[in-house]
Amino acid sequence: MVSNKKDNVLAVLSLSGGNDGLNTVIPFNNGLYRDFRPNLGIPEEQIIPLKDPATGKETGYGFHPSMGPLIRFWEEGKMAIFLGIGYPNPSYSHFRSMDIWHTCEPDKIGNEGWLGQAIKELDPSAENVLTGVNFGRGLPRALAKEGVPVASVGDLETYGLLTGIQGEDQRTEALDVFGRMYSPTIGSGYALDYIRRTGTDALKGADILATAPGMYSSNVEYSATAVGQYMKNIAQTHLAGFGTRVLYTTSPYNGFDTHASQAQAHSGLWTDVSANVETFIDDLRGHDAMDNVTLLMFSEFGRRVGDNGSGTDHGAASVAFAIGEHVKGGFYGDYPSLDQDKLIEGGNLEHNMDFREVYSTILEDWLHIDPVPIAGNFTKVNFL
Amino acid sequence: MSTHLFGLTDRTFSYSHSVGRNEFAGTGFRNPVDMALGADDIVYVINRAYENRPDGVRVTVCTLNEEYVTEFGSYGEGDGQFIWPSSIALDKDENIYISDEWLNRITVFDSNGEFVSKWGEQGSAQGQLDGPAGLAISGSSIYVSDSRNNRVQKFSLDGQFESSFGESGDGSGQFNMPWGIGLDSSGNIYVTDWRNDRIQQFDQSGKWQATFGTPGTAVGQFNRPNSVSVDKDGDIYVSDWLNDRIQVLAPDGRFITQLTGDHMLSQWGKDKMISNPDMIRQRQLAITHSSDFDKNFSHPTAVKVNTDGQVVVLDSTRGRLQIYTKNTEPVLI
Amino acid sequence: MANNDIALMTHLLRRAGFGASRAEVESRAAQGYESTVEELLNPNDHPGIEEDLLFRYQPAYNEPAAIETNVQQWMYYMINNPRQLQEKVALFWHMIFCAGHSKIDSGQEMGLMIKMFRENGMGNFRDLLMLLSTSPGMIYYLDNSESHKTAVNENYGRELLELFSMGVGKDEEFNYSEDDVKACARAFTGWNIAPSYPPFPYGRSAWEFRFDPADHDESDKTFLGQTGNWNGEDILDMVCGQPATARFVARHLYNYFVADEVPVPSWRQTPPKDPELIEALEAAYFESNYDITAMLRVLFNSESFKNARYTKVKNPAEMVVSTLRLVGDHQDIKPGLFEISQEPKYMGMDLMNPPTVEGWHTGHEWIDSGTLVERINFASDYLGQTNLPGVKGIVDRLMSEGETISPKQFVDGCLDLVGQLQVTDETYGELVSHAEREGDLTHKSDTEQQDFVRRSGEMLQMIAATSEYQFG
Repeated sequence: MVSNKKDNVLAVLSLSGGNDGLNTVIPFNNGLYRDFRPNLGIPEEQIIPLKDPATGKETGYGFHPSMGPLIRFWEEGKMAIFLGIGYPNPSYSHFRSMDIWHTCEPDKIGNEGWLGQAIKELDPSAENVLTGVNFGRGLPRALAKEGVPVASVGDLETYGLLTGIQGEDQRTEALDVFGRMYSPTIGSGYALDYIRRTGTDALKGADILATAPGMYSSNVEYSATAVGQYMKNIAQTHLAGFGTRVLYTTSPYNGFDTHASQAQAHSGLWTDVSANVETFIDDLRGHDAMDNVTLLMFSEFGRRVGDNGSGTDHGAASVAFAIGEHVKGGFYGDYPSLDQDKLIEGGNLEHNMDFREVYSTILEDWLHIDPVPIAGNFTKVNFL
Repeated sequence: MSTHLFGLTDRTFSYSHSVGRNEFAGTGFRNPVDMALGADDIVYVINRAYENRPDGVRVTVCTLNEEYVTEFGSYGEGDGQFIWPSSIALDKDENIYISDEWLNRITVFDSNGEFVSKWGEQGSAQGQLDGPAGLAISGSSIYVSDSRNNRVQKFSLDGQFESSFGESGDGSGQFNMPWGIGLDSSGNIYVTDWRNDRIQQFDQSGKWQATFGTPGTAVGQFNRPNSVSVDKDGDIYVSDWLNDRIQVLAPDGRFITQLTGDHMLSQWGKDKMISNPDMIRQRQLAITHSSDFDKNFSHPTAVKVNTDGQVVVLDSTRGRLQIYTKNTEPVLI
Repeated sequence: MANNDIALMTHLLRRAGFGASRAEVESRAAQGYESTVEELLNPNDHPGIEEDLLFRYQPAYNEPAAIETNVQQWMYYMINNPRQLQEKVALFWHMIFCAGHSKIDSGQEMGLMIKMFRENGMGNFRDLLMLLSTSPGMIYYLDNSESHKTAVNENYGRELLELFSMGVGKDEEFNYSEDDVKACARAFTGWNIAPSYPPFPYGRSAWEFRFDPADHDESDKTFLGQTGNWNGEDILDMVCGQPATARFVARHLYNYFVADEVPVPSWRQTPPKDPELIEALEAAYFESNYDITAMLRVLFNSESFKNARYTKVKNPAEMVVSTLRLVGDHQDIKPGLFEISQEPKYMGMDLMNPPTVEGWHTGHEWIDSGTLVERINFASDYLGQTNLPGVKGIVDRLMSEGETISPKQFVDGCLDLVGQLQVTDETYGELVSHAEREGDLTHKSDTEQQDFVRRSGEMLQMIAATSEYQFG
């Protein structure tokens, strides 16, 4: 199973709930920012200014104060920031908007995920059951496609079949029995045969994945949070060399949905994400395994321009990030205007970069597959 | 709204304003189940929220003038945490007592919301609890409606059993899952006998005195009443939960009037709308279609009165308080 | 009690509900098969959920707003509603009349739609189609709110015919033309939704149907060969009188309650698996003037149904709910239902959010390597919990079989008590040889009893992990 060839790998961290782009990459020179954020504006002295990595000149934008660990990657020129990313006629529903990002279908209800389709292209006959792996329970629609096996791993340390059986010997024995019970039979009917074949595959995949934590050693420490655990699991799986090309995870469900008490909540969220992304990259670099990885971070939408007293409600365009050794650092797209007459429905940032432009770039320039059938016909963003 | 005229002694009420909005943290409430009125217009609201939003389980402290003060408590089984918080009461020093129907305990906080102590254990023996639902404090004692044991127990404030009354049934002095408890100025005890759809009055010793109400939707009838308060005139206020109304009864139990809700946007509500301009339009269109939805109570879970003649209704599903004033003089409307 | 009566009753309760404890099976078997069928078919004669208690402990379930709360509430109903067939039928219609939260973006509307299926799903099919066509959630989901006299959106008109009533074709013929679709869509112009309160700041109001005569196309339309100024109700009358509709409803009932059929898009070319039963269901449809209960009566009393045991792959909701009913968990109102309500999603069935209007792919397509792991781990986790009342009951019964039981008796007993599960010889052989490793089972001393309980839990876990347990 161990692949020697260093195929490019995509890791995705989905920031579930709608990240407040305006308080993530802050346009602190824009007076309107203060007007719209009387309660949630970040004091200027706390904002981490983003200087042009090449010239060292102020850009007028800055990170939220809790994003300190990420500034390194920006300064190294390894971080692309997509400003004003979104899609036309934005949906303010978490589910619908996330589905749109998952399926690239803003107009009709799509069934197939962009990465499910990508995995199908990367491994057409599903030779490797681990070409795509999701961390977290339940498969995000981004990875869904019929006939594409994608394991959804709640926790890599305990992943497997019959995990409820106490005692290592008992479980080994049970898995033995399981293996025999699922050995192929002839003439038991199509459905039963199919289930047994699937069970055998599942056991095989679980057996392989179960070896990853044992092979892993590292001197970095991830946080004891869900994001920390998942980023660690992504690193473990990548370092195990199973030939996994797409590694996907989602921050705790709707965590970024900061309708109230945002000041505290948003800081906590970015402290967690920033620390664990930094650890992840350090971990991979320490193992000389970062070179073929690009990490994408996005959220289904941003938030309202104006705060509601203590939080912000569902909005439209936001920011997204890509980090990797082959990423050309810098801003892509323009920061959406905060002028009242440029806001959608009087309160939302209008996108100026379609997320499918970023997807197309990743598909074609990183995974080397034709983006058009998956994402549609979009201009690429030259960040890879 | 009174169905018949009894004369000048009858009370009328005017809607004053609303406080709050639906919110899982900070300036709002989520599935609030009870509240307590403290000094200086402070109100403590306990939020049950729901399982997949444990962040919403908390006590919100704000004022009746809609100033946010703080919040405390969280979801869990540890000290100072709740699973199913159900009722709140204050002692004379404004220490805060909160019952938990799942954990079968009473948790005590100081007036700053710091955990002080907890007491109570599950069971049906004397002094044990099975679903503590309502609380009321009288001097150095606390009454607890012990719902699944169908009784009211009296404890010292530190949880020493003192006495109890009531048993399962539908006769006088019997209960079917009692919930709220209110006290009048003479120390009489009023209990919402929840599944019997009635209010029972007991004297200080727990001796049954009167029963008000029968199941139904007519005036003076109840559908799962859950909270009862008595004002300084002896008028009795009952949140008639599944009838979506507050009923006001005279001290003898006679029906005086009912409140069904008169809500107007609160300041926190306005703040929320201003940052969501599309919803301002949507709301306006909805009001032209039907204004009742916005005004009416939805599953009110508590009603409390203060000495200023304010009647505060915890309008649960809408996540807000509707505040009324009791008129001392007739009001021309 | 004859073993076959028990097996038949277990089968009925598994199909017309979400399974039952052995004690309930036995009391129902004593009541008799036909009498039990009648009880299931007349849910309103019997008490349902005690909503006052549910709302007291779970206030968010009263007028539930969030999608998660709506799914949790439904899960509670599926596990605990004594009117089990109502819940099974609600799920049936949800899998055919598909609308999903990802577009509707109102958990409340999804909950109200399921409630409508629960309360009306066993009634008259024409009435049900009327409720569906006036369901604000469906109107929005299928864009009828965007269909105007001057600019017709055909989505609802098409799906009503294709997916909700007639089906594309039968016996290799097509049931309707593209012109019929257009006429149908025109007849439903003006069927729209009144303005409703937004979610902020106090929560949404329930959406309401509103007919706008000014936006309704009043001109003549030719539908299925008949010309007139048809409104939506006329269309429903015509649709319900079609043999195609009788066939379509009959095949769906068969596919859900009797045995897995080929996927719906193949129905035009592929004849029914059991033409005789389908014919009987079609006859019941017309004789009863489109009464679903009448069709179900024929279905449950048919020999085909009675013999179709363990022929269907359980859908994820059935897997979760029937396992919980077997082990006796969540039968009281208690915390933990959120996690439970997510389980079907992990198994590929995001309740109240089907992937598209065509619904989920059923039968063996429920299973892939990811969902199978979830199914096996869920079922075996619960069946291994020997402190749960249902599992404890199984262990007690096993012990009552004698002072000493052989490994074979033990396996037979376990298979019997998880619902008379039928397994292949190979599986049976593996289970017996697994049991034989530790020999006979006794339960005299405390140690023996503990061993007995432990081994029972392990055996039940193994049974829950079998390929056969995937069937219901």
